Amino acid sequence: MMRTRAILTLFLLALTACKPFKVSQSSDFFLPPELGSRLKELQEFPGAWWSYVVAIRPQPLLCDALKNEPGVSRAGCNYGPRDLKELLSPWLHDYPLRSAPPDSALVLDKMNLSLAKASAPLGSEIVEILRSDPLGTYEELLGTIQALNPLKLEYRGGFLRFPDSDAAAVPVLFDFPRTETDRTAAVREKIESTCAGKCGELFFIGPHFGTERNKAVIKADVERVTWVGTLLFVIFLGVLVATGRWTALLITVPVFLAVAVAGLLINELHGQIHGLTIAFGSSLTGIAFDYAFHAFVRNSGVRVWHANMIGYFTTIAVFAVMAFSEIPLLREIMVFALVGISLAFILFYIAIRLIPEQYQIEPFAISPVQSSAAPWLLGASLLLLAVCAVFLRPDFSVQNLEQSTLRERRITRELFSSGGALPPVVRVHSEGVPESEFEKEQAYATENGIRLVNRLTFLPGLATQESNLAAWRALSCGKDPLEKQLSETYRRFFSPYFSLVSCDSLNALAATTHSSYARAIRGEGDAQGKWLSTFFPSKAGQENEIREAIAGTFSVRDLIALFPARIKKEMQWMIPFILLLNLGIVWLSYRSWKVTLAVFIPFTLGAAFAVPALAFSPSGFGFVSLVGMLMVFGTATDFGVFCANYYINSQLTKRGIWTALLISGLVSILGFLPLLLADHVVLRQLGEPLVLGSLGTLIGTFFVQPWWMRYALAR
Amino acid sequence: MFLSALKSTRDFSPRPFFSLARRALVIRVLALVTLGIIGDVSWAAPKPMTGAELEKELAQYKNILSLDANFDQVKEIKSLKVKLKSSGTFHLRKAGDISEVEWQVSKPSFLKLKITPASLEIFEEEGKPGRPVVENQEAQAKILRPLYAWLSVSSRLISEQYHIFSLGKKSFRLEPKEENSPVKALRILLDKQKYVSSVLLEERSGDEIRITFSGTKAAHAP
Repeated sequence: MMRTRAILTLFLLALTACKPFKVSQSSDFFLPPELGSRLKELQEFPGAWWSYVVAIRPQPLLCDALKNEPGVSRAGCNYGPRDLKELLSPWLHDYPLRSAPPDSALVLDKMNLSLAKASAPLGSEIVEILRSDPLGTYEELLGTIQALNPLKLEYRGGFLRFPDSDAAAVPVLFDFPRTETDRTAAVREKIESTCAGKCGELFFIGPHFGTERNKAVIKADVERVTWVGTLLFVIFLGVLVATGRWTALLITVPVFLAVAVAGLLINELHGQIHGLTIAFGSSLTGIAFDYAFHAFVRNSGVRVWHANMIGYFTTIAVFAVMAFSEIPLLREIMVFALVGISLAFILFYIAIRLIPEQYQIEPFAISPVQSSAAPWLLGASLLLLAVCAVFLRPDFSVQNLEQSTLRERRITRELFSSGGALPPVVRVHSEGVPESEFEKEQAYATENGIRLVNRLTFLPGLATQESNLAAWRALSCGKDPLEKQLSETYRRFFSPYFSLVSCDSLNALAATTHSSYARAIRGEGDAQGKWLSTFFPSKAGQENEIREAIAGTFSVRDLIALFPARIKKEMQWMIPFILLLNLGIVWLSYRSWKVTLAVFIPFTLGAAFAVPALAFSPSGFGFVSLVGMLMVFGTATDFGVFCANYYINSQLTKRGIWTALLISGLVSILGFLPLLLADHVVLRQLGEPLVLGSLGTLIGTFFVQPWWMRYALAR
Repeated sequence: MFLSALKSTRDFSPRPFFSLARRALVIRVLALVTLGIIGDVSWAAPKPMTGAELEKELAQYKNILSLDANFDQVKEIKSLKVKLKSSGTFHLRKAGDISEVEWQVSKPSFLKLKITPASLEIFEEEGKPGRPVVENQEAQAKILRPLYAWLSVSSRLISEQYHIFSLGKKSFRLEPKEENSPVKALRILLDKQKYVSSVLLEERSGDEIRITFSGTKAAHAP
C-alpha cells in the first residue's frame, strides 16, 4: 500500500516471469515504426557492435588484456598482424578474385622487399605473413576494417589519443550482440581485474557496456528500493492496523487485476510488451487509487462518484490524447494506462458496492488549513512556472535514459566529436540487390571524395572477379609461370603465395559474394543476407548531400535525434490540447470558470514544486520526468476535483474527504520516496517529479485551493 | 720388394734429424704450443664477463660520435632450407647516451630500419616517410630493446639486456636475460681496431643470421 504503485510494477514484472509476457527492451521502440525498424536492422550488423574503453594514461597491458579476451573479436589498439590472424587466410585465399595479376616486375620488386624485411630479426610472425602475402595486401584489409570505426582520433603510441589530453580510446568490437549482458559483464570484470589500476583510469562506453551497466544498476536499485519500500510498507501497515484501518488494503486488489489485464491485452495486441511500459503504465494505472480512497473513506462527501467520474475523465483525456503519439513506446504506455485505469475504475465501482459499510475506513479528524499565505503561495508558484516556461528546455534525448555519470557523458561527447568526426551515413541493402547499386555508391563516393565501405570494398563485383580469375589462370596455367622463372630461394620462401596462385588453386576458386573477412558489413540474425554500406562524410553538410543523392541512406545520429524531436513536436500540440480538453471537461461539470480554475490549483503547486527542482537536478528534466509530471497531473486534477466537490456539494460537513486526500497524497509521496535512493537516472527522473509534485499537490489541496474555493463561492 | 726388404739385414730404424738437445727444444716448443691451444680452448668454454670488463673491451665505442660500415648478411631459415642474402650500410650516430641507428639494406631491395631508444621505424621507399615496424608496443619493445642494445654497441645497455661471456680475445657471447626473447644468443667478434667485425645471431627457432661488417669508419669526440 505504502508504495503500492511501485509494487504494481513489481507485480507485473513477477507476472512476466510466469511467461505470459514477452518483454522487449529494444531502443527501436523509441522511434516511429518505419525508423525504428531501420535502427533494429542496423544492430544486426557486427560492424555496429563497437563499444569503447576510454583510459586516462593508458598502458600497453590494457591492449593486451582486451586482445586476449575471447568475447572481443577486435580491439582498436596496437594494430598489427595479430589483429588479422583469423581474417588473413580467407582474405589471401580470395586475392585472385580481388585483383588482376600484377606485372611480374612489380611482383619481383615486392618479393625482394619482402626478402629484405624477412632478413631482419623482426620475428617469425612477420616472416610468415611475408611468405604468403609478399604484395602486402593485408594492410589493405587492416585499413578497411579500421575505416569502419567512426572515431577521428590521432593514432599514436599504439592508442587512439584524444587531442591535448592524456586519454585514449580503444574501440572494442564484441563477438556477440549487446543484449548478452552477462557476457559483456564478464569481459568488463576480466579487464578490470587484469588491469587492477595498472592500465590507467578506465571508462566503459558504448551500446554493450551501456546496456550492461543499465541492467546492473537497475537490478541494484530494485533491490534497494524494494527493501526500503518494504520497510515503509510495514510501518504504514502498522499505522493502519493500530488505527483500525487495515481494510484499506482491500482496495489494492482491483488495481492489481487491472494492471494484469492491461498488460495481457498489450502483450496480446503487440505480441510483446516493452519493459518501460510495464514500469510506467502500471504506475499511471495507480492513479486509480485516488478514486478508491475517495469512495472508501467513510463520510468523504456527497456525489463522490460524480467527482470521481470528472477526475477519471480528466485523467483519461490526457492518456487518450497522448495515445495518438507517433512514438510507439509512448503510445503503448498510454494505451496500457487507459485500459488499466478504466478497468480499475469499474472494478472499484463494483467493489465499493460489494464491500459492507463496516469495512470502510474511518476518517481522521483533519481539515484544510486557513492561511493568509495562500494567495502569495499561488502567485509565487505561477511566477516560478512562468520563469521555467521561458528558460527551461527539457532534454528528451534517448541518451538521457541511459545510466552514466556526468564525466562519462562528457567523455562520450568528446569521443565522437574529437578531430571533427562526423557521423557516418549508412544504407542497408536487401538480399539480392543488384551490384550496380554498390557500383553507384562507389562512383558517387569517388566523385565527391567520400570514404566508403561497402561490399565492393572487400570484394569486387562478380564480373570483375571472373575477369581477374581468368587473367590469373592465363598466367599461372601457362607454360612459364613466374614461379618457374625464379630461383630455388624464392620458390621455397614464397611457397605459400605460389600455392595460392597455382593453377590447381585457381581452378578450384569460384567467384563469390561473401567471405568471413567482410563479416562487419554482413547482416546476421534477422538481417541475414543483407549488406551494409557506410559513407564517412569529410566535411560538414556532406551528410545531407549523401542522403539526398543516395536513396535509402540515413544517419544513426539523426535517427536517434528523431525521438526528442518527435516528442517535442508532439508536446507542442498535445499539452495545450490536453489543458483545453481538461478545462472543457471541468467547466462542463461545474459551469463556473472560478471553480474550473480552482481544480487546477493543486497541479499548479505540484508543478511549481517539481519543475524548478528538476531544472537543477543532476538527473535533468527528460522524457521520464515528463511521464512523472503526467502522473502528478492526473493525481492533482483528481484532488482538485474532489476538493471542489467538497466545497460545492458537501456543505463542509463531510470531512472524510480530507483523510482520503491525505492518504492518497501520502501513498504517492512515501510510495515514490525510495526512488530517490536509486542510482539509475531513469528511476530518479521518475522519483523526483513524483515526490516533489505530490508534495506540492498536497500543499495546494490543503492550503491554497480551500482559500480560492471560499473566495470563489463567497462571491 | 717387401720380401727382399725382410731378407735384408739393413737397419731400417729412423735416424734422428736433430741432436738430443735440439729434440728437447722441439718438444718444449710443441708443449708450449699445445698449452697455448689448450689455453685458447677457453674460447669454447665461455667465461662470464662484467659490464665493466665489456666496457673496457669496447673502449673504441666510448667516445664515438658516428660510425659507418658496410655489411653483408646471410639469414639461414633452417626449416625452409633457405639462405637469404642481403647487403647494405650501417650508420650509428651518438649524442651523449642516445644513439640513432640506421640499418639500410640495398640488396635485394631498398629497406631502411631506423632504430632509436623509443622507436623502430621501417622505410620501404627512399624519400618516403617511415612507419613503426610493429604497432604493438609490447611486441615492439620485445624486439627493440635487445636490438638497440647491441646495434648501438652500448656496453651499459648490453649488460642490462644480456648475460655476457667472453669467448677469448675480441670475442663475446651475449645471451638475452629476457626468457621469452626470440633471440637465443649473439656472438660478436671484434677486428684489430676493436670495432665489431662480425655478428652471429642465433634465433630460438634455430634460424641464424650472420652479419659481416667491412670498411668501418668512425669519428670520435676530441
